Amino acid sequence: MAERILVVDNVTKTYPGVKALDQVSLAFEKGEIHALVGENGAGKSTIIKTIAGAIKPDSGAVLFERKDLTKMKTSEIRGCGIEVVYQEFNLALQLPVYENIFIGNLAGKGPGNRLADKKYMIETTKKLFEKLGIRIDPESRVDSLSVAYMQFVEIAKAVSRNVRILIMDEPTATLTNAEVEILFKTIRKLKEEGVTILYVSHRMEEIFELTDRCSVLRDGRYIATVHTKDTTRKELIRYMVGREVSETFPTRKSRIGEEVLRAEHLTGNTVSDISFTLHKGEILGFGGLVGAGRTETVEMLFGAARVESGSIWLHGEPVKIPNPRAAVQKGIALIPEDRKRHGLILDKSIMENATLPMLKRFARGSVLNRKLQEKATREQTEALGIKTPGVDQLAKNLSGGNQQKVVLAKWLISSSDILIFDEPTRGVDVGAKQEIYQIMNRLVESGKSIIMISSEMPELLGMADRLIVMCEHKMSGELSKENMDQIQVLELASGKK
Amino acid sequence: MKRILKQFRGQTISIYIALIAVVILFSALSPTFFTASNIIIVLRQVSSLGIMALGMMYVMLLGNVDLSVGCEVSLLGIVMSYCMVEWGLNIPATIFICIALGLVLGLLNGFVVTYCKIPSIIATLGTSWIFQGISYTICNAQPIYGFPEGFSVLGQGSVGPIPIPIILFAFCALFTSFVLNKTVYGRTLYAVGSNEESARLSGVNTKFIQITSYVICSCFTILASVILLSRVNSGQPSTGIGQEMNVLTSIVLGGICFTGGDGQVSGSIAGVLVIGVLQNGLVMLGAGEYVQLMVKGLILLFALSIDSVKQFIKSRQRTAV
Repeated sequence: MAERILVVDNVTKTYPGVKALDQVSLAFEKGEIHALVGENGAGKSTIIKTIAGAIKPDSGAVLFERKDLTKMKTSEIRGCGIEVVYQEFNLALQLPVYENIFIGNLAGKGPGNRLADKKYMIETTKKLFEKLGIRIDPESRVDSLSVAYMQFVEIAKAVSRNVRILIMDEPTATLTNAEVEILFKTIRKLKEEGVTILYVSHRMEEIFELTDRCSVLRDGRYIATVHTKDTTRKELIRYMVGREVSETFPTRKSRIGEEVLRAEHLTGNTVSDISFTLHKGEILGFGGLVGAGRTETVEMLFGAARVESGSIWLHGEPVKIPNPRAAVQKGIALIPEDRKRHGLILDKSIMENATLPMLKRFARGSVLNRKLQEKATREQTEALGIKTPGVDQLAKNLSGGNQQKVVLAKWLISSSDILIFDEPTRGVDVGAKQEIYQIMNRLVESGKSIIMISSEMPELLGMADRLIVMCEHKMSGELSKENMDQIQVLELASGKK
Repeated sequence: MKRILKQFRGQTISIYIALIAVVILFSALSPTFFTASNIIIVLRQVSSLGIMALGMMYVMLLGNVDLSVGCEVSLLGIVMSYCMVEWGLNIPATIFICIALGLVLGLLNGFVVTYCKIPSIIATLGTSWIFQGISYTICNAQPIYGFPEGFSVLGQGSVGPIPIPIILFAFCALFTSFVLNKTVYGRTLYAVGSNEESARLSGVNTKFIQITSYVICSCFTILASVILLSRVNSGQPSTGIGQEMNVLTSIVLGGICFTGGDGQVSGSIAGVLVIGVLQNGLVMLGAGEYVQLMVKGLILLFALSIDSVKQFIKSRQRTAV
């Protein structure tokens, strides 16, 4: 048996009302790629934060080469070579790449090493990037890089510090396939050098392609650790959810009706010449690579960005949508990709979030009627199956899937009939994904129309009635249900046609 | 040349346009404006403001602000006057006391912001009332004058044709540019200002950086207060009141990002010069103090809106490609 380098021993962590970790024990071996899986709220993030020392557990210990990390300061833990690449990047955006690599640890020269040694840092960064197979100019400012490249800077930053244990929290969530390949190569290189990698991901394919072993958590409890090559997708999911979950897409019986929305030669907000129609009871998928201009397109429909030329027709009438308020009044709703930043007010309750767009409806004169608000919110939380002790719960205390449902509740309360979902299942676990698909089906069955942007191929093919594929800020094709397949979509998305 | 352009690309260019515009405007309107002697006058006028602005940069780059610099100038001035006139201390001893007190005030600001975790805008508003109160109490709201001979050299003397305050200002500018761009401390300051959490998690002692930024800011304020006192040659409790707003205006004009992490010394200096040129030029044209205020406000809003217009144009260009 290989050397156990990191042991999580009987760790418990309680937050008010929630047991985030309940006597969890895990062991990681030297030089392995170890996946940590589980639904949202299973306790993966809490484990990561406990190892990194960002939170202190109530009881239990984290042993790194027999030293207890929970008794150390964050800086000492980093000194041991334990690095975390979080989902939310921790980069200084206005600074050049090489300074980010050396952040907190700038190379010095001159008297007392007080002068920053720019040349040395740039050279070292260059060498590091070469080693990892990344092509980035060390002197460019971080905010000029794409999301994927920022991710690589984060990884390089961790590697530059003689990393022994690298923890990655959903590193591929924003990457394109080609970028994922580079990332995997980098990870395998690190493994060869004896680095232990803790890999958190919702994407099953990646876990099977990349990892050696896999530990499952559920509801804050340790469930099982398996060798990845000895297990199956089905088994893993059963461990995660605790019951059988079908991975197929639920069928729906919706009747596609008349045209509700039409865009003609829509140009603006970096995209140009987009034309499509959306019918009643239809799910229209938007495919393409990250950064192909899909979000930018729907921002125009929602009035969040200026339309420069082209027209939008709603129920056969040409309309102008100068701002999001106008869009909401016309019954268009956006469920944004980054729900934490654009979809929710995290410090407010479910009820306040859900009733925000239509506050007027809950007021007599100008005075809000709390009872009405509560009633409407409760109806939706029940209908959508939001797991919460009450409507006064703050949005930030909910899991990813439940937060997504609150955003949805907001628009259902304001009875929007065109719903735009931007990456509806990003960062949402398997079980909640199914629920969201079912909700979407129910919505179109009741006569609403949905535009769905997604980077997950199975989701697009499984859910959409028709597909618009975008490439490099232009529309590269439209596919009907019959000739929709993975190869077609990929070719259109990469601009091969 | 390419290197210089690269330097400018990251930051706002509108301040330089504004500076050139006001210089051309006043040169056209007044024949005596663009003369060597007047340029020296402008520079001397702005030197204390400029020194304070450079100090404020350290604080602003962290995303904080120091509203107490104006009242600190008053307080230090009054204390120095009191030492010299009432206690009869000599100049070096007085300046020593001024430096010691200034460092304490800087530490106080830094402490309140860093350890009491009060937002800097509120914290330094609080300390500024305290400083103002103390200075009025010490001098009983009366000006103090009758300084020993030789004290006025610092503010009024010159080396060759160049007044000493200008030399000190230039020195401070070079020093700050060097510290911010070339030293480990300076680059760490930018890092903390750009992403405090990241820097903290990377093992930077962010509290140390924050406190020292206030102390450094205070050092520059000390210098400015000595220069101002020596130029006016009498201690008045109202000397510095409102100065902090001039300082803020000039460095915000100069493209120092209010949320921290971005901004260059050259921008701040240009901002300071715009304020100085405006004051000087408007006086030459016979405009009163109140007109100056209005113009200053307009320029501030105008210069900052240029940037949003520029961004709007840029986003349209991106679409066109």
